[in-house]
Amino acid sequence: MRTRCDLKHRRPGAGRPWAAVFLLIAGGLSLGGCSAGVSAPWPEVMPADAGRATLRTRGDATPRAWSSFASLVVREPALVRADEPVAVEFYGRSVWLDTASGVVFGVSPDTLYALCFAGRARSGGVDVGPGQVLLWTAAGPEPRRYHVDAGYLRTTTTVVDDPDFDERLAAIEAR
Amino acid sequence: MSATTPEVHAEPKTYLQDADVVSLRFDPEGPEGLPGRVAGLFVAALRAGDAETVSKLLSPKLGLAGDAEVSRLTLAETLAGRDWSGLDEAPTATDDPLAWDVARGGQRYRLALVPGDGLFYVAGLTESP
Repeated sequence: MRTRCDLKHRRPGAGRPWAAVFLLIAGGLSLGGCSAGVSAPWPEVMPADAGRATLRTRGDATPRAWSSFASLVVREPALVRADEPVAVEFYGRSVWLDTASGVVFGVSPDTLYALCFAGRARSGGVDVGPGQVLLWTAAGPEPRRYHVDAGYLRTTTTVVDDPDFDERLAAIEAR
Repeated sequence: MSATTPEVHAEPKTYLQDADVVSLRFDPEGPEGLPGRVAGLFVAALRAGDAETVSKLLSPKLGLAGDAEVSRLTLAETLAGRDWSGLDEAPTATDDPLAWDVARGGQRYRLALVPGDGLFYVAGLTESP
């Protein structure tokens, strides 16, 4: 069977998706002004520019190979950091990460998710920023945007062993 | 009089933590047509002798005793190990959305699907008259 996960690198212009019980969905949907600066699709660039984004999970001292993304993310959340704009293929959905973005991807029993904690991400025309999450159900390819309860998340999850992740969640909580 | 609460043991559905299964469950095309896709993949896996994929598509409830995953894999290996040369490349739909037919030579087989976990599993493969 073919698994639809991959990474594509893109030129500047646009952005992309985390699972679970520990995600306390606190809020409603859309926030109008989220699309500034990421409205145009990025043209693809050669995928030789690896290093534009890194993939890690809990306890990883060094980044993992992108080829492990699909099998990794079904078992535990995967943290993707993009130094430059990239698009991540996540089970048939393209998620765009803007410059200096951080997104945690994951699979829960009923959803696929992509939690943005830094920068911006976008999929299916839906943009998210820090503290927001893209959620997909089995119903189709379009994501919905929710807010996360950063304080709850920060105090309950040990998913990502990353001080910057914790600090950014604290900053989101303090807003 | 004392009340007791029966113990409940939740079985972790580890078979869902599989990239191929997730690909099917969250297919961007949505749930419409999913039975056909599962039936098609199952037939393709039989033709290829791919016991691993056959195992993933078999109903987890087929493991009736002992370790369900081992039971599924054992059954899958038995199924995929048969000679399926000449089997139709794709199954055909029937009036029942959970039943698909596939033929090999003059013999027809009925593929029975069951819904579960937001997916459809193969619950039976029987010779049709």
